[in-house]
Amino acid sequence: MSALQDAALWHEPPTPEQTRRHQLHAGLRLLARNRLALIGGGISLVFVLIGIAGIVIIGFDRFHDLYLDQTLDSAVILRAPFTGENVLGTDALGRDLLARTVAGIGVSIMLALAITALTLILGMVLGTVAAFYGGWIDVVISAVIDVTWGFPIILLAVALSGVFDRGIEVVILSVPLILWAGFARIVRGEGLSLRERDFVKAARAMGVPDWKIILRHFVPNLIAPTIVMGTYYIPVVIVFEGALSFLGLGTQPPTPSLGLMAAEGRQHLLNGDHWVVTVPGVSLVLMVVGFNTLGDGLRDILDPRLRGVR
Amino acid sequence: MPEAPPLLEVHNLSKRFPIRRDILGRPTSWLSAVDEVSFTIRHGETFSIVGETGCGKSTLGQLIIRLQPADTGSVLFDGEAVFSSSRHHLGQLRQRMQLVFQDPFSSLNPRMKVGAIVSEGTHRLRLGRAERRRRTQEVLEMVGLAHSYAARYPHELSGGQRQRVAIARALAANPEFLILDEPVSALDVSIQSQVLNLLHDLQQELTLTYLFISHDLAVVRHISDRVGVMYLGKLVETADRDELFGNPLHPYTQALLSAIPRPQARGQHRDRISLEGEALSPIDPPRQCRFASRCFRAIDRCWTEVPPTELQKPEHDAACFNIAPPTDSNGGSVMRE
Repeated sequence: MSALQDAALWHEPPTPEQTRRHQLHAGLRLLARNRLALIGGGISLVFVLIGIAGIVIIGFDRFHDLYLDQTLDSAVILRAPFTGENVLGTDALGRDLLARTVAGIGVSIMLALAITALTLILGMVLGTVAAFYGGWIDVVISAVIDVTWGFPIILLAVALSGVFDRGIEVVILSVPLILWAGFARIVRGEGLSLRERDFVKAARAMGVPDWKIILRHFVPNLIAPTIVMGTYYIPVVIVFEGALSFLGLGTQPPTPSLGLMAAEGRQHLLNGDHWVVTVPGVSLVLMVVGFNTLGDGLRDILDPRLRGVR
Repeated sequence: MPEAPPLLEVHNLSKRFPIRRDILGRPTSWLSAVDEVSFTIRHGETFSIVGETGCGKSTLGQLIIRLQPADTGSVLFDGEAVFSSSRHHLGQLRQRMQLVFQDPFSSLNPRMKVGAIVSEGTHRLRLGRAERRRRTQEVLEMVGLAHSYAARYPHELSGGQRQRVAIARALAANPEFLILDEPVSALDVSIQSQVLNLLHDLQQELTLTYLFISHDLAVVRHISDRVGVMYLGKLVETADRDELFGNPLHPYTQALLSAIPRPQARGQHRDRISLEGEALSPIDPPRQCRFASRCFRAIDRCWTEVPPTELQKPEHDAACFNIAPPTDSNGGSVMRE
């Protein structure tokens, strides 16, 4: 075998250290060139930091006065931004809008992450199972996907709120119960092509158990669409949470939520006290634009084939 | 290599794929990929299947290890029926039979390191972690890759190196029988010979039996002990390598061999058989010889009956109604020794 051992010395591959540095550089260069992702990432990062502050405010009782302290004193209520000690003004109950907005962003981001994670897990499991097993299992799951995808989230939320008490759990349930279908469809499509790849056939020929094939060969090759869809779902979920809360189905007072704040303030909109609505509204729009831009940028970097796809 | 006992016996293996269905989902049209194929591979030999693209060679390989279910027929591996064995038993059989795919860019998971890919092959052996590692190093060395390759991802390797990894993965299970599905056709010519020599050395060292699937006659001539020629799902001729290349009986084999470019002196003349007519579609083929539409020796019978595979000479099967020494398309005899 000496000829073979010589063959091993054709050339030594680069060390893992070199390779990793090379990949890191390539990744950073791609990110730098993609200004969209960079801007979106920056905005998202700012909102995530604000969100963490918001969660801290909600989490500790001693901070509750910041956003719950209310009054009927006409000197304090509906104070415009930058006019008094409240930087972003106060609402009709004299509560500090800055603190309420920060807390609302916290609620939004926490819910968005939890709901997105749930959506991705549901979609990943059902999508890979449908693609891997095919046959009647695929037919059933695909039928469920088609039916689910056409169902309006708001309608399901209304229906669920009739069954359960209104509140956050309705939002948590209704959004992923519909949204998973879109992700499952993408996972199923990718999975169908993975199933025909030779390395999956090789694993089956070697008798590797199904669950190991799914974990080892399917899931790691689905990471790119998962990240892309994850960043796409976060703003979608934020918007739905806002909409449901605006309708009174989501977050319940006194917990602040951007949608709820907009709903509470809308009667003051025409009186000229527009900031009660515009402060949470503009925050919501900025946050959604930030995450969306980041999602688009990541999509371009990670999966050029999905470019322009919605 | 006369009379080693058979390791693999394939009897009347057939596979059809439905390609059109009616409203109720019942197939109305079938593509016949493998049709009534029978052959035997003896211990320690290399049996090659040659045929053009789309003739069902790869499907045949996948049917044998039950990667796809066959419609009819049977496969005996070392006397044990592959198709009727239980799930557990099939696992054991699959450890003894391994498949190497054509395209090493598709047969290796891009997200796994070489070490993990190769050690997946040991999965049936139920080894501990340390033994698994040792086995991985051992087979990597066998295929001529340094230990350090275990930490690489497939995209860092060249085509030849990848194919070595694929071979190492197959060897890791410690098999007796390898199905090599066009293992070199995706590689550069210079790399092909290295991989072929590697396969040859491994066969000697580990006493492996090969089913070698290829469309490359030169490669087949180099590596085989016996050769089967496939045409549109049918095995039309089977013989020892020297017999088949020296004295082909089936008109398709004759045409195929005459297409090999050969060096010749100036002024020397060589007749080539050039096939005319259109190949039969494998979709719902009529009951006739599948080669008849392109055959230069077809007789009336070829259009109405399927020629059975018959022993024409000792160790030499062919499926043809009009066996004759090679002739050109005009009926003249081709020059040979």
